[in-house]
Amino acid sequence: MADEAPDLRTFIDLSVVLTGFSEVELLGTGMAALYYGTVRGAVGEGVMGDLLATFRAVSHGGGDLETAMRTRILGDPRLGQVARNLITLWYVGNWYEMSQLWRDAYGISPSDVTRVVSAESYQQGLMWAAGETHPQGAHQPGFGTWALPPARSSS
Amino acid sequence: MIETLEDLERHLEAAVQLELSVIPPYLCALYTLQPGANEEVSQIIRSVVVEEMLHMILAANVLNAVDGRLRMTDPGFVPTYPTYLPDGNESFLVHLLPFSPEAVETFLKIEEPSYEPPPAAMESLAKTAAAKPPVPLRLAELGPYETVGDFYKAIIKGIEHLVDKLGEREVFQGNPERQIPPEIYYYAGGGQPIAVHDLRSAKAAMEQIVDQGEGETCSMYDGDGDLAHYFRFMEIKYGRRYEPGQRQGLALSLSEVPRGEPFPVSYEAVYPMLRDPRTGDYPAGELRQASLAVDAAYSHLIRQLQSAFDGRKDLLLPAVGTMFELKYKALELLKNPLPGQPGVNAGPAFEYVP
Amino acid sequence: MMEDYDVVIVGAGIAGAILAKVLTQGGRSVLLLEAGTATAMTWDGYLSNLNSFYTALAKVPESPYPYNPDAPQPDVLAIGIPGSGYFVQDGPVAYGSTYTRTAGGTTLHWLGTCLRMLPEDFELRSRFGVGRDWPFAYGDLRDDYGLAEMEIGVAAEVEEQEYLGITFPKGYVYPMHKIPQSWSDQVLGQVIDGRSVDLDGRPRELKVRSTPQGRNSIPNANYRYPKGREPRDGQDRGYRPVGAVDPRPRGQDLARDLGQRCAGNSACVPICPIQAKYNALKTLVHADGDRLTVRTQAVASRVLADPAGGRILGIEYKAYESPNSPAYTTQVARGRVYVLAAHAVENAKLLLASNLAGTSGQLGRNLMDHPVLLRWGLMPEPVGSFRGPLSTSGIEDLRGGEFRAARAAFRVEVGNDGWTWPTGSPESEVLQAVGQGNLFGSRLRAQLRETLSRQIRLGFLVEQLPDPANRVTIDPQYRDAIGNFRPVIQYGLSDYTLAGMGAGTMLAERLFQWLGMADRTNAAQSLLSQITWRNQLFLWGGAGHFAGTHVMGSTPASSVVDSWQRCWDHENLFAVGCGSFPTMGTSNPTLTLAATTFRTARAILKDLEAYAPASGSAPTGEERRP
Repeated sequence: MADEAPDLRTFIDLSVVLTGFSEVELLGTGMAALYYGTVRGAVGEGVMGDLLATFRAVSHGGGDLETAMRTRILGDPRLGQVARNLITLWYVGNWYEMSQLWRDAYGISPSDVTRVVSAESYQQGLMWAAGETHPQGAHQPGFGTWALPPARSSS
Repeated sequence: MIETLEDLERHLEAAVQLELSVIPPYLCALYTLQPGANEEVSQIIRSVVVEEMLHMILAANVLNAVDGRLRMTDPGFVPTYPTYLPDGNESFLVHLLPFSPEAVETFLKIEEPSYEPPPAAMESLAKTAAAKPPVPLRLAELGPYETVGDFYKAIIKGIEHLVDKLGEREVFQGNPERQIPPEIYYYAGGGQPIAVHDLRSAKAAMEQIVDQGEGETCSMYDGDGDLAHYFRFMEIKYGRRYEPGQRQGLALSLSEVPRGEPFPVSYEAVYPMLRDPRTGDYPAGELRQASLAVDAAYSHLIRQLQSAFDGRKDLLLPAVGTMFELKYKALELLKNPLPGQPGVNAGPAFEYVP
Repeated sequence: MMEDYDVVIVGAGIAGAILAKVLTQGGRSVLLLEAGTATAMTWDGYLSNLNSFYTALAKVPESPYPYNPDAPQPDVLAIGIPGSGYFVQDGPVAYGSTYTRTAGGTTLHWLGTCLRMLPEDFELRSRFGVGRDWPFAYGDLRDDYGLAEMEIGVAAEVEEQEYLGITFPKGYVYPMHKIPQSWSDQVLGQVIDGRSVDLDGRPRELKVRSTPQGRNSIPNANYRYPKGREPRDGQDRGYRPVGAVDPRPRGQDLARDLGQRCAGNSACVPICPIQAKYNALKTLVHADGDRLTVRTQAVASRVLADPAGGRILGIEYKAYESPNSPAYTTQVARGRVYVLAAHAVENAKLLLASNLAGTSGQLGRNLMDHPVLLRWGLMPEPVGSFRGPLSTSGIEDLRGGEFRAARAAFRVEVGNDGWTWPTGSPESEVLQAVGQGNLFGSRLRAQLRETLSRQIRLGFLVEQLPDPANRVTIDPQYRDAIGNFRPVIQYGLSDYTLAGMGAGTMLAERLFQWLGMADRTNAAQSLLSQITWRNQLFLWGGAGHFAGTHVMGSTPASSVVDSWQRCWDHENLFAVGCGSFPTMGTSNPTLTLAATTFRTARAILKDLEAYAPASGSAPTGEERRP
């Protein structure tokens, strides 16, 4: 869809701030478009649109980004849990069903189901890179590499 | 003609460089395969890559056995792309390409220079043939050799000639500590390294390279019954395995088409990698940093290999780890779209950074 | 039409595969009945198992191997949840382990640890006055250990494995050099190696020792294949690792190119993505295909015996078309010799259902495991956790000694997988850091970077003695989708074992102090089983080491099978596997299982000498349908 591109762009910018991973690292997982669809499907276009619009305002608003993220997104009853779920989606590769309180307040989507989003999403979970290792069962590092001291990445 | 030990060393150094030069093109094809498709294609290309690495080790072992010195970190040793591979008096261009019919045709030609790709598949070859690579492979200064097989046969002849002229002990003066023994390198597919210390082991090492697919045409199979590289790529081209019956005969022609079990080949489930990526061509910023990281891993790999060939055998296993690190960094690049070039993704440049 | 085979084997796990290989190579025809599917036998199928693992929310050992109602298997997630799962848990403690019913068996998700039993483990009763004695000694099994290490492809150094009385033949080397010990093992070893603890009133020196493992490493050039076991090229020197398997015509290419060395995927359990770790299918594909018939989706339901002499006449099995349907036909497999190699629990269940092998009253009893006491903590500095095979080292020095008269021995498994087993890390760490820690962005990333690579888990595998009260029974009210019995399990931990956990706890506290490791063992963050003893809470899980259900012994009055694993009551019926173990010591049992299977294969070949050499299969008998 033609109008999806700018939203996907904002989604990636938001993801960079939420995850602490760079844009190249996030795009390097190949998961951005799938995750955009996952979140939108689970919480609906309205919530997704508001999340991205709020982030645009926050990131263009100047001032302290951390404070603005906490007050306007992470601390927002409607958007906060979505943002936290977006973080865990990137880090783990799983979508976790929104809490019952949230669903009562803001609606239920049939796509809001706890699941591993795909075989690839598991392998691309950022938690492995954050822990300076590789996903269990994938991205093998090669014979004997485990006997070497852990490499501390430069980032 | 190989008349002196120095000639021999130059040939063996060129042999290591030749084997190294084909690895990045194969890796680009392998790494651009998206997960979930091309399972057989991936296995086939991987099986060729590991044998090319083995050939590099075999050539280095022979070089060390005759007390030569490899200088992989010298300027001009690590090829840049596109590069030329010899084809008799001519040469042909080898690009860094995503998995594609053009890449497969190039691989067939690499493995069998007398193979003539259909012109339609290789239009870019004609267009760019005029361009000179920044640094030619050393093999070009030694030839002309009709095929890579001829090149290796000339080395074998040269070794025999020098042994006749100088005596076996005079030729094989290298320190045995500088040999990579069979147990260490393990992604060796159908073969394994041979520690070289005399004429017999040197010939065995060279013959293993020729056998496994570098231009041997009298049989589809090497000594272990494995399919030669050229025919493995024929399987990809036609999306079919050779039948077991087809695998038994001798003197099969290059045009022998596989007639066995079909397997799926998808040129769509491929990351659309830029042709011949260059780190300097990426916009300054994260993307260029990511490409530099690939180059750094590749350069680290080259230095580890150099050290391993200089007697630090213990660095060969970590070098395999570096290979994997390189792979995952390259994959990150391959999933990043290039700004301003819709439908084209970044890719690894394989540039050596001292 | 019924075929007639020399040997009918129930179960295509490691014991069944070894028997199928040795017996067919010895010229005998074999029918192998497998209750589950054959998914993992092709590479495509294996990749589908891998995909199931990737997409499973809970990556438990059986997650790659889909649940099959026609050949159900226990499930980690059902342990401790009354009324759920395949096992009917009758207490007082829920049995904590699982196994998998599919061709390849539980070796598809075993860890690969290949410790030999100690010589004293075979003589527990005579040396320490507890448990039972084996009907043979370590020395009688030593050569069979060698065969087992060849078959599995064990990586280790003899110099490191000669301790507490373990000996090797002169000049013996393991097939492959040891798997490199992880960086965290090395860090722990720097602190622990050479320090002593008091045992039986004397200091006992500790060492973080490389674990012998059934995964491909650098082959030992000095290895010599035993006579008659050389690979096809006839060369007996230098071990040839066996890679991934695929029975297709080009399958051998896969074996050559994939799985030749462990590449550090760190998922030995539940699934090694490249089959660098041994699984029973590697043995099965080397059986003589002309003499072997494998029938999958064929669940043995009854062993048929001649009421007069006790000779076995056939094995009745239920052949189902699809795991998704309860439709089946009942058939009978006939042979000269019958072998139950279906698993300790399944063997006992089948014999109980057939009302056979009951003379000693021990059938189904003496069920054991290695209850694993878990302790976990945070090292002061990063040690590179979550890298390498799930465990590459252990502390083995406390496996033997006079103290065994009073309390259980244990070995310490040093994990490389952080807190995955006890807490579900790293996923749980992410959920906690985001959900309760309220972290995001670069602080979140930094926090995970700081903590994940410092996570260490120790597992204390504690010995359990054969206790007749720990048992498998059947009950007509508990059946599966095609009417076979579900196992009813009564199980508990004795004071002897709990005292071993107590000793493990005290050692853990010392080790943590020595290492400066913060103890994060925490019941609230864990799904592990809990048991309290002398006011001490133990968090523990099963090791998957089922044993004892058809105990081996020297008299028919006290045991179910003899020293060749032949049922005392039925001269042409063997029950093989860990079910025969009188005791299990502290070693992971698969290697010993494999060794005893080689021993039994010899006995069967000898029995069959009474018959003319097999000339393939001869049609006889009738087919029965329900």
